[in-house]
Amino acid sequence: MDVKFIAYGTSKGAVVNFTRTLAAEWGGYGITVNALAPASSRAG
Amino acid sequence: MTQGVLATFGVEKLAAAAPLKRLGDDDDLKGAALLFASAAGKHITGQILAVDGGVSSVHGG
Repeated sequence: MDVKFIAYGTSKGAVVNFTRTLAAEWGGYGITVNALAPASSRAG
Repeated sequence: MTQGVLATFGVEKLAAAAPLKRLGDDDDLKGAALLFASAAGKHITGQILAVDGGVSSVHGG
């Protein structure tokens, strides 16, 4: 299998925690932080 | 990386496994992006929104 799911899972987890933590830290400045999770989609 | 997933599993098989029976494209993300970016979503923060045709509902995300 040529697909590197370890990289996918690791980086997706990072994005999820990045989003939640930044939302917690920047909420006081009136900044919202959210993320879209599009699964496998064609971009272009 | 998505190209690798599509090539390995096949576009048709992935689409068939999705509740909405097709893969998403950039156009499918616009509504959710607008919600997050506009005043309509001004009290939404820290959320991960799946815009995936239901894939994460049946395959665990």
